[in-house]
Amino acid sequence: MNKSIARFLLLGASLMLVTALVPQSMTQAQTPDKVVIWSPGDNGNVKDWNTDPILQQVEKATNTQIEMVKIGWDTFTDRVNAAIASGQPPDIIGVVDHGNKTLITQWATDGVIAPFEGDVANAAPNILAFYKANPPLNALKIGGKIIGVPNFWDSGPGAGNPIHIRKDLLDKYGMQVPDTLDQYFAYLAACKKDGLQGVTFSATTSIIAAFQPFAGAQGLPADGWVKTDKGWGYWAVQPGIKDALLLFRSMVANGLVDNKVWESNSDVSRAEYVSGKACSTIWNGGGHIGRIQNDMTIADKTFKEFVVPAPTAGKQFRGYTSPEASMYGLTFITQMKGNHPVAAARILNYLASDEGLKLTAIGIKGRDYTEDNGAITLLPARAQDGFASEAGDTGSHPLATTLVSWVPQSWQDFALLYGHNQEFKDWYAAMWKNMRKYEIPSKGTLSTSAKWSAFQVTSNELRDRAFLQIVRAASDADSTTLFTQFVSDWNSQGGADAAAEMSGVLDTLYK
Amino acid sequence: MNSNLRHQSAFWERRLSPSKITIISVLIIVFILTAYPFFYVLSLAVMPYEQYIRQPIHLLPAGFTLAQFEQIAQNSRLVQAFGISVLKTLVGTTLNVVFTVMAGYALSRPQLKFGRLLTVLFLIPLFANSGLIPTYLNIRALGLLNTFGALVLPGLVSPFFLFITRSFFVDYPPELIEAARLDGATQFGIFRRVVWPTSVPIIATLAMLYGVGHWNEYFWPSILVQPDLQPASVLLQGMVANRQVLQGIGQGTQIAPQSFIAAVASLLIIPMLIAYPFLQRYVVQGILLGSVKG
Repeated sequence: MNKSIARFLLLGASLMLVTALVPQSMTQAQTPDKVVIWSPGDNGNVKDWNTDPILQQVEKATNTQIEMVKIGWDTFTDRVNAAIASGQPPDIIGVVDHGNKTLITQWATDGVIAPFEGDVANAAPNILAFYKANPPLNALKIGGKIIGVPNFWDSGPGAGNPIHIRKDLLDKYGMQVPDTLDQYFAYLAACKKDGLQGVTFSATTSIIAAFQPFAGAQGLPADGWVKTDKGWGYWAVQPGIKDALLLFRSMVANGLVDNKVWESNSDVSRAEYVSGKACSTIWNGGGHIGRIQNDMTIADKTFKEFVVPAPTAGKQFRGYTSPEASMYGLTFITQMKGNHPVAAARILNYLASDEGLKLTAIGIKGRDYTEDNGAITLLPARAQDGFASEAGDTGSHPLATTLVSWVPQSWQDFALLYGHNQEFKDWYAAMWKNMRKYEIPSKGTLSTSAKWSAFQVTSNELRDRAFLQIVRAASDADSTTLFTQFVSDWNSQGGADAAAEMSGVLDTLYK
Repeated sequence: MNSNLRHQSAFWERRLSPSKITIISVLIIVFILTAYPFFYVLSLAVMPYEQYIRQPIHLLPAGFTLAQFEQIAQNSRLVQAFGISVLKTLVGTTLNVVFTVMAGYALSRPQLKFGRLLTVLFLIPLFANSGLIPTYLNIRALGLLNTFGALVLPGLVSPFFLFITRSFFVDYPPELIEAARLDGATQFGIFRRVVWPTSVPIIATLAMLYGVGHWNEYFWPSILVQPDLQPASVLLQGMVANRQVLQGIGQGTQIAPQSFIAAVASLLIIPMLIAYPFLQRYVVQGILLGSVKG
């Protein structure tokens, strides 16, 4: 009996000794770290994250156990703030507007979010490489440190909002592709004569999205800051913008604008164009070009979408405003008690890798698709694995967005062109080329200063209200007066001080 | 025959005087203005995508399909969310009504010790709100975070509805209570056997108001519980916000089609449209009683 007890004790002691001698890293490698991810949006087609094969694949590749929680956009920040206040934030906070510098700086200075340094940086080489490949992103750093993952759709500068017209109508009217704004106006006038509406866009609160070709024709971007004789100046108060607004006003005054634009949201204005009621729109480009054509074909097979290279206004300038980086929003890793920042970094790094991006864009090889000599064939199982099948989207999995990307353009294009013939692919490539033929780069959009952060909301309100009044004014003289008043208000209400401070920031950034 | 015609003419003149025609016309216009948004959502829900895309604005339904509803039925998350909505509304409303009526009755009794103080305590939240983070921390401290309790227990008694209920009970016939007491009933017995059965208007009013509140509420459920406990209103709001945000960003990522969102909205609207007409008369009656008395 005593011998049995002695053997049992010896066995126990041996096991304890073995456990103690095994390197800690080995035991860690066997036990997956629990990582809680909160990201905004809905679950798309994922019915249950616990059994989602794509999420399970990410867990396997990163040795983690993930709890995925999607939260509605309108309450996301509130919920994150409440969780931070309670001392229990998730390990990964999905995309937060990168323009919300006050909140992000607060999180960084309070030590809530983990900078990408030490072990976190070592676990995320893909994120560091993305910063290296896109120098404007340095403006997103706080205290010289990378603090978040930019959610991208491409590397390098983004594309602007081009003019879309109908090629079939152009042919019908015997017109050439507009090279100047006057020629574009002539096309709109021909449409009106034909019983169609002119150009449509959403202008319920602002005309900025539709303003890019007009600012570009004056050599100015419709966003960010421009270098002037006195330093850096805000784009909207530059003298050339007055001329651009007058051109825009002439389009409105001549009845070439769909009269619904002042009440239309983006959905309605897109539908107005796609359904053939309006003959042009000034709207997002990129993958939207193909998606517009797809919907147009449903409405009427004869409709032919066409993207116009940025037109001139008789001067040497032209271009759509090109954003500094093809990204929106930052994802953060937290480092409060109970968080696992290194494991979180492994997940984001994997999702940002070629393998991770492919996984979330098209699925698991052999299950969701097959590949033969580079030719990918999608399989029906994708619909069961959380991938989208509805019209109007990129066909990706919900994990493809609001963590590290908005689906890379190459995968968006793959989904869009999948199953289409060569003619469609050539047309799509040509439209992309048209969109990017003339561009005016915007600068300083990712940067801020204390005064600019404080003034930005007022600036946007002043600008949007004034621009709407100016383009709908009774005469050019009235428009000019309104523009002068806007510039004066903008400067006196804090713009001049903010611009002076931003000049210092931008001088350092664009040495 | 002539006499019949005269009779009919007089009948219609009496029935359709100019003022009545005006009133009926105005009511028809008001009805159209109020009912059309519901009709629009319902027609979008059953409209095939091909028809939806052919017109920017649809005044009347074009085509018919139940495809969106089939998708909802196949989506276990949405089905569960609708189940949570029903459960939250039934359990939450029952608790709300019972506790509000009990509190309102108690506060209306002149013999209640510290009655005025308690009334003031209930009055404070009407004017001062604790805010998001303190409420969140409070719910967490109570262990309710991510539990079904978080959906029904906070806001158990609405101060506004409590004061309507209290006003209702202030003029409650004391003879009934006195008679029950003489028969040997306890305080709770009086409430359960006498007060409760004779207070149907205020109970129905509270049930309607609390019920609509529970059914439509999305903010607190989206803050206090994880997705597996979120009601359908949270999912609907999420889809709408998602669509707006993603369109604003300009990326064509997973966006629920407008028809699908309309189908979910329809399923949230229909129960209210069915229930409201039956309870409406009680609501008006109850609020009037509560507001005039006291």
